[in-house]
Amino acid sequence: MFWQHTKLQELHLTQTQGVWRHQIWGYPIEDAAPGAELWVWFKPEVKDVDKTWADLVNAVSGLFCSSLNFLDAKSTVAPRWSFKPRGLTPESYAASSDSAAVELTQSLLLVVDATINNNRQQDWSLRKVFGQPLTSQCPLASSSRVFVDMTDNLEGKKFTLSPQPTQQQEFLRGGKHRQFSIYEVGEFTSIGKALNIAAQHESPVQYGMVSAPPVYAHRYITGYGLENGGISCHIFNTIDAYIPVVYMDTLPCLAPMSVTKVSFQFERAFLKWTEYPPDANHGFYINSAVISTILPTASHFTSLPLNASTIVQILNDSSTQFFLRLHTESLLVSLPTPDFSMPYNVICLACTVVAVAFGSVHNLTTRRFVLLDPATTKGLLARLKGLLSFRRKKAPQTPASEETESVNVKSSTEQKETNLPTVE
Amino acid sequence: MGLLTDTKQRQRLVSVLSRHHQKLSVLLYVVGLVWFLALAYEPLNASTYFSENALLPGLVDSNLPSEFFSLHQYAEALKAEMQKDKKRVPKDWIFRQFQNLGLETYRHNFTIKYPFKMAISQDLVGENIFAILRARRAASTEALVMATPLRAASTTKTQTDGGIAVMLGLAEQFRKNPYWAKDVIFLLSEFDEVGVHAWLDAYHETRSQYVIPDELPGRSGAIQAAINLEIPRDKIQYVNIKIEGLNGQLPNLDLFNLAVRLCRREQVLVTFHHRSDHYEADSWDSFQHSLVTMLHMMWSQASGAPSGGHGLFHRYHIEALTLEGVRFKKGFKNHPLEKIARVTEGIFRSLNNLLERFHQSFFFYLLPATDRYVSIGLYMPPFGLMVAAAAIKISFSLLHSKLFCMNSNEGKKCEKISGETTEGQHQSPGEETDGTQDVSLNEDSDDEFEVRKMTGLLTVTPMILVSFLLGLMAYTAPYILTRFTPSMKMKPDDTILFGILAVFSAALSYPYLMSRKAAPEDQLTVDWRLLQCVGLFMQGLVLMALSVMNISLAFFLAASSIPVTGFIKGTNQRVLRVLQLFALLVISPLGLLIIASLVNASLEKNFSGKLVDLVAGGYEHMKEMIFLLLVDQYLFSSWTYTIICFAILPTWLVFWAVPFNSP
Repeated sequence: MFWQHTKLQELHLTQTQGVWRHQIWGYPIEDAAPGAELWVWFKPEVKDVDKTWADLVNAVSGLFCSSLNFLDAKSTVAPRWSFKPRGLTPESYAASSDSAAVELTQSLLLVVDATINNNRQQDWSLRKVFGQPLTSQCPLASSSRVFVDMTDNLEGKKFTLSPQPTQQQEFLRGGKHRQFSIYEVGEFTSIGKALNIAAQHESPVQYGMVSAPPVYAHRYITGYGLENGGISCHIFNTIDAYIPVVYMDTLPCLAPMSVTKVSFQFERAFLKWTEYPPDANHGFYINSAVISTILPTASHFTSLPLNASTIVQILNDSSTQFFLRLHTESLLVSLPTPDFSMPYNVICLACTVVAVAFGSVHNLTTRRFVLLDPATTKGLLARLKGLLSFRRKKAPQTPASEETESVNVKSSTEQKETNLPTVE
Repeated sequence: MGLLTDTKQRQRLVSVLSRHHQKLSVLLYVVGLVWFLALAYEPLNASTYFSENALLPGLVDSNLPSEFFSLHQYAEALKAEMQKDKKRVPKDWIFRQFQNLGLETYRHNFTIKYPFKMAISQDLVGENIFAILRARRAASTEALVMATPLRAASTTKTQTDGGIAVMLGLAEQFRKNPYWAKDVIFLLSEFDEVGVHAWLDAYHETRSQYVIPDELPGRSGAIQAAINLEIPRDKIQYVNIKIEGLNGQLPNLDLFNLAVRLCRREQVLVTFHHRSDHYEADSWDSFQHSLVTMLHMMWSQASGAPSGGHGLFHRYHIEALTLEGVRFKKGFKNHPLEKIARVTEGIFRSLNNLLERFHQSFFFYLLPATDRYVSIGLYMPPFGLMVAAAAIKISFSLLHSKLFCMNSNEGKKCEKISGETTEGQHQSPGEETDGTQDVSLNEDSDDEFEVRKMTGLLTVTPMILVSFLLGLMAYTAPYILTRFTPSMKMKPDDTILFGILAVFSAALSYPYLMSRKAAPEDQLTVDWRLLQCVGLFMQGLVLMALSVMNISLAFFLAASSIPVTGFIKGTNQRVLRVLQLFALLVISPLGLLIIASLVNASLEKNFSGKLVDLVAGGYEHMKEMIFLLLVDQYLFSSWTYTIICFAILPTWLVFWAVPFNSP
């Protein structure tokens, strides 16, 4: 199994369609980069990380039927601070010491805009979103729960849930209250009922400004033309406190209620022609930047802490520090791209040049230059006349092939006789 | 390769060419010109086709409802809003509509500093509105732009309220569909092009001097294409496609083809420069029709000014064009707004299919009709011939110039050749002995040295330097002059016009200033052939360099100036000199501007045909043209005025000095 072979401590793989918009949606439970992201902690005994990494990505790409094997040295970084291993819980640490116990966490994040095709009503139900209600719970799980965030709906004026939840639970995290309605799936499905949670809204949605989360970022390409370009990243801090962030490996201090702008310039260079992908004119993706920070507040914060595996564990989280890692937008940069029909044109042109130049140069370099005595040489017209008269005499008597041969021989011997001084 | 080895043959060829180069030059020019214009003839150009297969134009089924009610609701509501205050655009209303659709909607403010301080002392503040429809499947790496200028009901330009209604209707429909692979940005710009410019500057974080945008509150990824809509609410007779951008840049031909194809598919009459295609192919009438269409396009491209809001996108490698709905006067079958919406939807669906940037098709082309094109490969050879007409003059003029004669050992022979070709100048014995020869002969000591002194490249260097300095003067004059305007109580466009006229007339007198005291009368004492060669060389460089950026400008310059610059010569005959100077004046930058203004005045729709109107209209046009040239340069960093000042004017000034020399 590749797990033992590659001596992994931790492996995190996310595959994403779209991008998480922190400014509007707040923070997700698990933050993920657009596209695919794979990050791994190797055990200390791994000597050649690069080689093990290459083995690993090939194995993983096979397992997940994705082209993760393209994650070679060109698109990989070894971050020093941005990624921290999950704090090992005592049990799993003990287990891993003698046997290969593996903790597996799977999460699926989905954003659904219920208003589309719904006449701006926000009503939703499990059947509408997933096509069918919940009819059973995972047989291996001791408990399976559905949480509905009711924080914005404390007075029950915005929407009503049906059926009635199993229980209401208040979460207290870093001084921030969150209200959840919890459904025990087993309670509904064990008696043969399907669980179809639905929310009925009072009025159509009114769009307006939403409160932004404490820290979010916006990254984009700057400049134009194919000579120079740049990347700018705005890091917004909307709370009234200094927040140190790790922006991959730079460490600006986020001042209170501020926007920090990280920008750098780059020069667009030609790649080697083998380094271009088949769709070279599409552009090149720049991976999203990763911002890691510790928030002093839990507003908008729903992620699990490093030492917890389930939401229930954070029911009463009195910590004052919340580790946040968020990914910015990935970018598409266009690099100068050669016209790939050019090799064909170059071959045509080069062949033409060779054909034309070679002939004449060959002619000039291999020809013998001969000094002729002007007194003995006849003019062009006289020679032509001589040739004609010669033909007229000989033509009727001998066959054509023989005749030309004899003429050639004759003329060459003539030349040998007359052209005594030769220059080579 | 006989030529390389056979010196006799080569000499013969050279002497034949040398004897007939004048005729050859004329021949090349005429052939080039006729060939270039003949390219509008159908058998000589090519039919347009789609190079980019990913576009798949018109292959998808339209997702718009068969009765597009919401579009008409938006159009009616917008009409009611606009009637409330005819001088203002209901920006708040439009903002709310986009926001209610659930799109990320933003306002973007910008400030325009007036380049000429006198007209409006305060800075002008504008506000764009833009909304981003986020593609569900993509990570905002790519985007498409649908733009329309915000124009009040009282505008004298094309109304754009239909375009805004189309945008709202389409935004509503687009949002329902899961297939978007690129974000769609709906941009409503204030002050037409200036708003677009400010928005693009902010989007790419580039800076310019006079338009200062605020930070953009929201963004998407790399913009792949933009469609600008100038669509009135009703009575649309046909759709006119505008493509010419800043500095004569054009969008990729595939985008133009796409727009034409989709208009045809929806049976919308589509025109280019308000001219539809000739129904009859391959006839003299159709050739004339196509030629006029092509010349219209070239005329517009040559100005280097953007013909619509799309023109500012090209610099950022964003392919863009404008769909302009033209209202009919009376009694014509009209296209409902719905059709325009379907065309636009089709274009965006196609653009959504793009996998790579537009790169397959041509960026350099001329269009004689909506479905025919002349590619760069077709128009460069005839243009090359026209420039070659001048290039031939360079080599043989140089052969006859005194510089060449003195440097080569065969000075005598050279004299002979030049004597042969310039026989006409040797008619009067009085003229034979003045000029440089005169000077050299009269000097007793070392006359060959003296002649050499009068003929080297150094002798013409001051003229070249002075002409570039005058170019610099013309370049900076408007900026300096307009600072004094408030005290003179003149309008800015008047000041600039008179200022430029003053600079130009000062430039005209520079050969007098440079003439030597020793020389008789007002004559210059340099080798005019050498001067002409330098001028022709500069001209050839300018034209060839310009032709790969803006072929239309290069063509009009070449067609007008080469017949004069190639055939002027130094003379002592007063009549000939005056004639030559007059011809040079006609092709001077200012002369060409006047001609262009007259042409523009005669092209106006309500032109009466009277000479008085033509002159009056031409004057107004010239004032406007110069003013706009400068405004474009200051606001959008257009190159045209810079090229005129630093390339065209200095070259012309070098030629201006030629007739002042004695033969």
